[in-house]
Amino acid sequence: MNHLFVIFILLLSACNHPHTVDKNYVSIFSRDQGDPSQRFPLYRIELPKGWTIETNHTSVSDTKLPLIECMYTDNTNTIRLTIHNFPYTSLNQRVPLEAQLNRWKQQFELLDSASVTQQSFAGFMGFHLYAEGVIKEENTCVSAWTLQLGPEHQKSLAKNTERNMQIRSDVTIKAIGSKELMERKQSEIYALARSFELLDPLPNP
Amino acid sequence: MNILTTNLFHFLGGVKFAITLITATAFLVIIGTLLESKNNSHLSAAAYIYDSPIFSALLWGFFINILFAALRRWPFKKRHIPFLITHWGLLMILGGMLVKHYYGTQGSMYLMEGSASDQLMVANTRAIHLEQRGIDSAVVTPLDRPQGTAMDLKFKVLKTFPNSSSRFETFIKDDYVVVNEIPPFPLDKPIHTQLDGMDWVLLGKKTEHIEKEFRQFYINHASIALTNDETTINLPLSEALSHPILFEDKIVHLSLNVEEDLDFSFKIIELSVNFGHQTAKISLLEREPFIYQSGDSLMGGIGIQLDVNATPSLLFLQNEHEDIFLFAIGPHGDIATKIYRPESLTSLYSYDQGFGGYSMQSTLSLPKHPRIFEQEIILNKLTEQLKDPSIKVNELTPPLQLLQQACLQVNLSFAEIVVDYLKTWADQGGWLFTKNQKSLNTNLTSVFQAINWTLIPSNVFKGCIWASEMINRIENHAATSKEVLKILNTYQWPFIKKLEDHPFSNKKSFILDSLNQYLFAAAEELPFVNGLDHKDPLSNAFIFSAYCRAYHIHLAHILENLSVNQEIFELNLECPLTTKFKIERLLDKIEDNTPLVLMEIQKGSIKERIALRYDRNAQGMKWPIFGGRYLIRFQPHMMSLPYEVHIRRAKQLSYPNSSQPHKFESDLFVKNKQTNEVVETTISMNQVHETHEGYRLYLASLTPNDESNVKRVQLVVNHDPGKYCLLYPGAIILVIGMLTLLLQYKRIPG
Repeated sequence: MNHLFVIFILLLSACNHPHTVDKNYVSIFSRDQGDPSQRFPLYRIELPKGWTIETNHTSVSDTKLPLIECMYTDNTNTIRLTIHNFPYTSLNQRVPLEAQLNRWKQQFELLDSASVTQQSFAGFMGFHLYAEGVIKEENTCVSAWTLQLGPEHQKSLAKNTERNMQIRSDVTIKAIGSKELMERKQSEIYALARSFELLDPLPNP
Repeated sequence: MNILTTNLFHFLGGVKFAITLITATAFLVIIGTLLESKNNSHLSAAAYIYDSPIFSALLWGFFINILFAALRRWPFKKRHIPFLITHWGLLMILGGMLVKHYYGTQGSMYLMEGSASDQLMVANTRAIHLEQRGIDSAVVTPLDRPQGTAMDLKFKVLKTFPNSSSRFETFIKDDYVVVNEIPPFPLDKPIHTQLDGMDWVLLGKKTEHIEKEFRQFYINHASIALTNDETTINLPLSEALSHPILFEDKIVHLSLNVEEDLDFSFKIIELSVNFGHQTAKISLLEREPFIYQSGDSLMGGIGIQLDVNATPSLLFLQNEHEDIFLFAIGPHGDIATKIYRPESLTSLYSYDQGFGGYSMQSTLSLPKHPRIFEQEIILNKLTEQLKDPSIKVNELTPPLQLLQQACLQVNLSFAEIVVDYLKTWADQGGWLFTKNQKSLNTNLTSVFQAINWTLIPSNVFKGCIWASEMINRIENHAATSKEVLKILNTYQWPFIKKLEDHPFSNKKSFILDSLNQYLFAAAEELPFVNGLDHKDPLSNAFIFSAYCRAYHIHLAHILENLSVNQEIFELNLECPLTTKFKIERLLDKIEDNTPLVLMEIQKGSIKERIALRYDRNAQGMKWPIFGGRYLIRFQPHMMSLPYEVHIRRAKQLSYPNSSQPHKFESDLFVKNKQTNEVVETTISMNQVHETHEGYRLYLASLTPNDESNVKRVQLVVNHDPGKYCLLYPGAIILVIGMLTLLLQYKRIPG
């Protein structure tokens, strides 16, 4: 009988309970066309500990304005991570991914190194640029993503409705900061950017 | 009657029946195992054995046998309790198996990252997927009967073929070439037509010898022009290739080289020109910056220029594997090629999301201007750069500073003189500027007459003279790098061993360059050469070229670093995409068979026939019917799950510092459609998610496994409705029953 009890305990010890971790999800609102009340929750990111956000509640019809700005501040330095989207009605309004990469590279007065890798997550695909150099006479590092939804998703969102326009927008995520701090926070920046996703699922193509 | 019933009751609950069932089951399982191992097919074993009515009957037989064995103990006594508990447990397990057999669910979901669905594709079922233009929702109708209705259509299965294959048909369909916007034309008969505002010759052919056919066609439709400063010869390419050409006092040999790559695409199509001792190659597939390039590009040209012209043509060649090779020949002899293989598509265009049909699109790019035009643009660009007023004299290399002084003296444009000199030198070919009176025009003559060698250190000037004289003598006697090395060996050149062992020892330009550098370095030790006429422009131009070489100044060096945006015209070709089916032999492995159905579909009084090949993953194309009013696809049956699965992220986790995957996982939201409760979970190959109702989600596959595209995830969904109410409790009861039986036997003495 004692043996049976031991076997029973051993069997139960193999079971584990899935543990859950509290995640700090932050919703990001869409871009409006002049009236900020048109904005609706569109994306979501997972904010790492120690990061703060600055949400723009006014109109962001100008695509130069970010949808959200995440910041990490050290004693003296700050990393700014901004997320932009670029709604379009016709294909010729879209900025090619490569052009975006070139634009970022050209922002450096002196470019020490730049590496580009392919990226694909949460239904988006595109490139990640990691570049180091001098911007405004300071040693700066840029870690930036230029993304667009996969062609199958784009196809299923082909109808030109206001909602579809926002959902199918091309997206950029750009983190900029001092070289030293960016290197230290590289994995957090990567995790933050890769946690970016649409709030509502897309129809399965 | 009573005795018969009693006997039957005892037989059904007896050991004999149990042994019969066990033997029969063992026999079937052995056959099933052998079948599975022979065909490497689980589906074959399932279809012939485990899903067969005989196997179901055996399960029912076990159920009856165990039930009756327990009932035979009636009236039950206290000592029967362990026996009854054991049999109760067995009955529950069997009940659970039967419930799963009749009411269980097994299927797959194909989802793209970022999307959600509640549609489960039920494996090994057949259905018709129908979509109507203008209506968003689709209908999936089971195809388990030969006739049926869906939407407002009636369909009838005319014939089913258990296995088939299909191939895409693009530009060549049967004996015709089909290109959109041109009437189809028969093979082997060339036609003349206008495409994108230009006249083209189009020809289609079926052949086993693609390279030979293309070569012949190109030779018949191209011509060449051989030129130097004074003479021009125009010839059809066929004539130029058939015999040597006498150009001035030298012989020109021409050949057309075509090389195929491992995948049978064309990696080299070039014209090779042999003039004197030198050979130049002109790539017809991709233009190079310096057009009259010799084998050793830094040597410059070969003293003769060749250009190609051709009748703009499109050649469609189909080989025995039905691969189509398309060759586009531009007006300047350039060639663009594309291959279309019937098993894979390079580009697909769907009109109106498939309702308007599908087409294959192809864009062929060809240079707009003749080769000489682009070289002129590059040279103009170089002139503009040299004219830049911000360039200071001391920023120029010493040879150019010297030339600039001479230009100032005779009041000529420095930029234009540099380009003129470099161009003349490159066109001559040869490592040094040739002492040929015809080479110098009036401007160059004035400048080189005015060159003042006293402006450079005397040692450098000595270096120029020694290098030019020595290299000129060697060049006159040595056409190849081997011959140069041989001469240097004869003269017992001190660094010969080093040169011979160098990896670039086969390049004449490298050996001459090394020799030039040595001579300049050792100039101080060399005696001065007397008797030179420093006012002879030709001699100065010749010596100056050695000085330029010491600083790597030659048009070939400059062109390597100067690019020009080639102006191209794009020829867009399109053809309707169709498929061709072939009935194949039935394979033993059921999974490898792809059925084909021939169907008749009726809308009102209009009937249409269509052949549809089974799309196992329901991911392929849907074909238009009734003039594009509907789309249809033959695929597995779909069922709605009580959950909506949202694939948030799918990722491949690799070993540290390696691209080798060690784990695939996917983050999901699983939403209960009734309660709207959302569960966030992660599944991987060994981590299954199970819902409260017992739906189990497995991660079966993930493609692509890199970051090149949006990932597609295959989930396998399994639901066993009897698991928690019958199977698991049955197993516990069975264990308890067996333990009580064990204790009961222990208590019996002896």
